[in-house]
Amino acid sequence: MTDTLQTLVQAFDRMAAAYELMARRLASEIEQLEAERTGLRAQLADFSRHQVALLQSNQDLARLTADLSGQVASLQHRAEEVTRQDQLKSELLATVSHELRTPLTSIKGALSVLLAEDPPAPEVRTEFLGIAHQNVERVMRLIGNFLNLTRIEAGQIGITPRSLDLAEVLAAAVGRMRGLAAERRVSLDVETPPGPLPLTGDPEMLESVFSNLLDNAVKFSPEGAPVIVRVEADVRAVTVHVRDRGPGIPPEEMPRVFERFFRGSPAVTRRVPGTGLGLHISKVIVEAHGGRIGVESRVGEGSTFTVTLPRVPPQPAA
Amino acid sequence: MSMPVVLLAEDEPDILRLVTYILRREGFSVRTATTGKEAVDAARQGQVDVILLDIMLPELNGYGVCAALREDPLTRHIPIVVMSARAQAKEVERGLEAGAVSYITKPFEPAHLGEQVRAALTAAVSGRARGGAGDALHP
Repeated sequence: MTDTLQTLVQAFDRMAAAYELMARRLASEIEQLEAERTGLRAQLADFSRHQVALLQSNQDLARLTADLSGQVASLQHRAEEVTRQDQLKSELLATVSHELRTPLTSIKGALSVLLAEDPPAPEVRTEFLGIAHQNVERVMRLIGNFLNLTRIEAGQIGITPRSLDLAEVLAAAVGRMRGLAAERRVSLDVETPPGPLPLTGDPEMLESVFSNLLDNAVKFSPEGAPVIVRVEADVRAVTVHVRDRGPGIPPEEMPRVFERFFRGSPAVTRRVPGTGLGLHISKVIVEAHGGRIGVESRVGEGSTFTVTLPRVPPQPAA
Repeated sequence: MSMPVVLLAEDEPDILRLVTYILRREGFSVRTATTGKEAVDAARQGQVDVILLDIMLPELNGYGVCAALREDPLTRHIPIVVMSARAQAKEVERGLEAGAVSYITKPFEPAHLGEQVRAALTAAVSGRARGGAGDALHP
C-alpha cells in the first residue's frame, strides 16, 4: 500500500509542480498583457491627440480656404466693377460726342446759311441767330455736366463756398432757359419772395443744378404747359420747387431717378436728348452743400423737384 | 419734274428747320416727318421723289425705315440719303445695305446737302431710264 500512496503523492507533487508552473506562466502572461494594455492605452491617447490636432488643422484649412475664396470673390467683384465703369465711361464718351454733334450741326447750319445769304432777310437773321445762340447754350450745358462728372469721378467735387445771392443764381439759370422754353412754347413762371436770398455756397455749381432741373422740366413739358418755379425761404434754409406738367415718373423708377446715367422710360420712349447725368450731378452738388434734393411725381400729371439748401453749409464742406 | 419733292425725316426741331430752309432755297419742295413711322406713312402717300433720312428717329429708326420702304413696291424706287453723326458708322453701313443711296455725316456742310440730294435724284432717274437700280454713291 505504501507504494500506491507514494505513487499518488508523487503524482500530486508532479501535478502541483505543473500547476505552479502553469500559474507562473499565466502570471507572466498576465503581466505581459497588462504591459501591452498600458502600451495600447498610451497609443490610443496618442491617436486621440493626433486626431484632435488633425481636426484643428482641418478647421484652420477650412477657414483659410473660406478667406481666400472670399478674397477671390471680392477681387472678381472689383474687376467686374472696373470693367463696368470702363464701359460706362466709353458709353459716356460716345454719348457726349453724339450729343455735341447735334447742337453743333444746328450752329454750323444756321451760321452757314447766314453767311451764304447777302444780306439775309431780317426775320431769317433773327431766327437763325437765335437757333445758333440756343444751341451754344446747349453745348455749354452739356460740357458743364460732363466736366462736373469727371471732377466728381476724380473726387474733386470740392465746392468753393462763398457768399452768394440765390435769387441771382436762380435768375441766371431761368434766363438761360428762356430761349428753349420759348421755342417749345412752354412758359416759365417764377414765384419768389422779394429781395435777395443770401446763402453760402458755390454759385456756378448751384446754377448748374437749377439749369439741369429747368432743362428737364422744359424738355418734358407738352406745348403750352407751364413750368413753375416756387421759392420758399426762412432764416435757416431756402427751398426751390421746380414743377412741370410732363409725363411724370413711374413709381418703380422713382428710387433710381438720381442714379448716374439713369434715363427714365419716358425719356427713352420719347427720345428726349440727354445723358442721364444731370440729376445725378445735381444730387451730388446739393448734398455737398449740406442740402437735400427730392422729387414727387404722378404719371400723367407731372413732377415736382425740390431742392433745400441750408443758408450755411455744415462744416466741413465736402 | 417741276419742283422735286423731298421728304425730310428729322426729329431735332432746329435741324429740321435749317434743313427745310436750305432745301427750299435749293429749289426743292419739302415735306417733313419727325418719327420713323411718320416717314414711312408719308412716303407711302405718294409724290415723294427723294428721302433725306436721319438715322436716329423715334419709334422706328432710319434703318427700319429703309427696310420698310424697300420692301414695299410702292416706295422701293425712292432714293434715300441717310444723315447721321459719325459715331454711328455701323448704323450707316446697315442703312446702305438696306438700300440707301448715300449718306451725309453731321455736322454737314449745308452746300453739300443740296448736291447730295440732287445727285441721289439724278442717279435714281438715270437708273430707271437704264432699267436698273442706281449705283450706290459714297461721298
